Amino acid sequence: MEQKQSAPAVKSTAVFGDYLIMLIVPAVISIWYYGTAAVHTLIICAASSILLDFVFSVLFNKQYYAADLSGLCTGLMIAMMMPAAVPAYVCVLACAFAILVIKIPFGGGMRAPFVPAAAGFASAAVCFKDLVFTYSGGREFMGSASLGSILQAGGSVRITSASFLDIFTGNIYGPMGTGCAAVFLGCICFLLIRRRDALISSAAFLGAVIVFSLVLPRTGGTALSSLLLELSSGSLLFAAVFFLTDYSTLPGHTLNRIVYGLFTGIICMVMRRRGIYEEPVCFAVILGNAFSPLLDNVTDRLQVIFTSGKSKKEAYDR
Amino acid sequence: MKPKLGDVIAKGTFEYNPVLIQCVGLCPVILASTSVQSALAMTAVTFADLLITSILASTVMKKWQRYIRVVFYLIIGMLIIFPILWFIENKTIMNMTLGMRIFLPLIAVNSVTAVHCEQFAVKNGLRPAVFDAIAAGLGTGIVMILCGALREIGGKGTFLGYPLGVSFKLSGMLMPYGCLVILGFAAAVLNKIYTRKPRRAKKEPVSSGPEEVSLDIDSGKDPEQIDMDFTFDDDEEYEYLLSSVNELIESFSMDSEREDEQ
Repeated sequence: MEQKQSAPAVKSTAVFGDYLIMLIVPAVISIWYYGTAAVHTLIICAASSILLDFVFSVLFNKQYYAADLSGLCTGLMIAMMMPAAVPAYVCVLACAFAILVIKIPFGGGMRAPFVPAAAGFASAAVCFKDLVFTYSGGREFMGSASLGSILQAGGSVRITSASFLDIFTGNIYGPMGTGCAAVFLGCICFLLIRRRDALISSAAFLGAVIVFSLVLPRTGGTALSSLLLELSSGSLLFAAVFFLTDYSTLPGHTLNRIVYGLFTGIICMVMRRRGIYEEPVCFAVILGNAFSPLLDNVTDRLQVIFTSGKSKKEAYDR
Repeated sequence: MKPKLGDVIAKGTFEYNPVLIQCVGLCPVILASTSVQSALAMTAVTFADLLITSILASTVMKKWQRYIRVVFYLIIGMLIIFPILWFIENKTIMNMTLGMRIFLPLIAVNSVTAVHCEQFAVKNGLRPAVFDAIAAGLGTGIVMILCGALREIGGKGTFLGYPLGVSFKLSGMLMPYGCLVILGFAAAVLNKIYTRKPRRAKKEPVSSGPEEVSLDIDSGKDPEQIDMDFTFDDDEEYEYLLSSVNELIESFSMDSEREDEQ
């Protein structure tokens, strides 16, 4: 009986432990680039997430597992997507939305219908658009504009070997922990070893983004420079590694995971072109999360229609 | 037996709240509750619509075909809601801009009215139908005003138009998702209040060591003759025990079925 009760905590610790390991490097890089401002943001987000998780779990009479790392991971993910100099109350409100509205009411990090960090950041983007998308620090390309805002305005960036290095290492105006493409390539390698099954949707997501960037470039340069800028701007690679691999929102079937990734990628690129926010990947992820159970439901029904006998029963049981 | 006004209103307003429990009429609530003023205006309109339609449904429309009745609910809704909202927006000194122009057809097709008239007013007399309309109107109104107050304070930093001096505003509260979050939490609170779980049997005082049980096998008594007369403090305790026994029987029967299948 005791084993049965602690099972969700063990699973949650294993999954979010991996995320925590992957979050360490971008956190260190953000501190390297932004100094004490990044430390403040990281501490505020992490502390408010853990505290809110604990206090409201107790208030709502839910079991709180000390080893459950989902609260800490949610806080750190939100911090990574914020600008380093964002006011503390924006961080706290984003974390509060993620924990109180998305995580706790649905039974914890492994059962949330949406990625809590994506929802928290999206709510902050809606409420404090000017604060969340105003960046500081990093190498300047066009005044103090971020890559996302340059692309949104239809501008182009001349990529030299020096600027390529800055873009690849995240030394540009943008969110404090999501700019370094090199780190996320490392994270993808880590996931290839640890959780290969969860990477399918990320691969589909990146595939959709790559095709979209090559076919319909937003910049005046070559298709390859468009691809590099699209992948490096905003939180796209970060979302591919941390949001698209979230087990609570991933569809069960492999084919559905591919469809989910493709759908999210296409929506993200359409929103980047037509939306009002320079980084709409969180909104695209939330929209993808909303369709995720529907995909499994449709597949199950199709399986029932096209199979018979024992396999039909298995399809229902699933 | 004639229903009591207090009971009907208490049940219709809270226990079977149209918005939070029955989940009908969400569109007008989401659209109209961006401020307390607009929520009050919409409450007045919904109240008038519900009352008039319920009276007509319980007196005139009883023998009509169902599909004709539903059409008439909508027509009556439009005839009441459009002029009253237009009057509030343009002819009163409140000088309110409700901002519902494009959503007016959605508001006029009010599912609260249709559900309450079709489920209750048509099947009952005038008096219960009026009571039910009052209860449903109150329930919808309370939710609208609550949402309106919270959204106005959070989203605009004002209450009834007066600034509260809040340093930051959560503009997301004025969007539909802000209202849905409030409705979700309000529904959870109401469910918590009205979901009464059977009370568990009182715990025995904890003894220091394992309790000694003696089984007198050689007493010569027939096991079926042993006194099985349990006494319970109240009905809830008895029902709880009964449900537990039933669950146990069901689990046993499921296990045996599985074994049979294997």
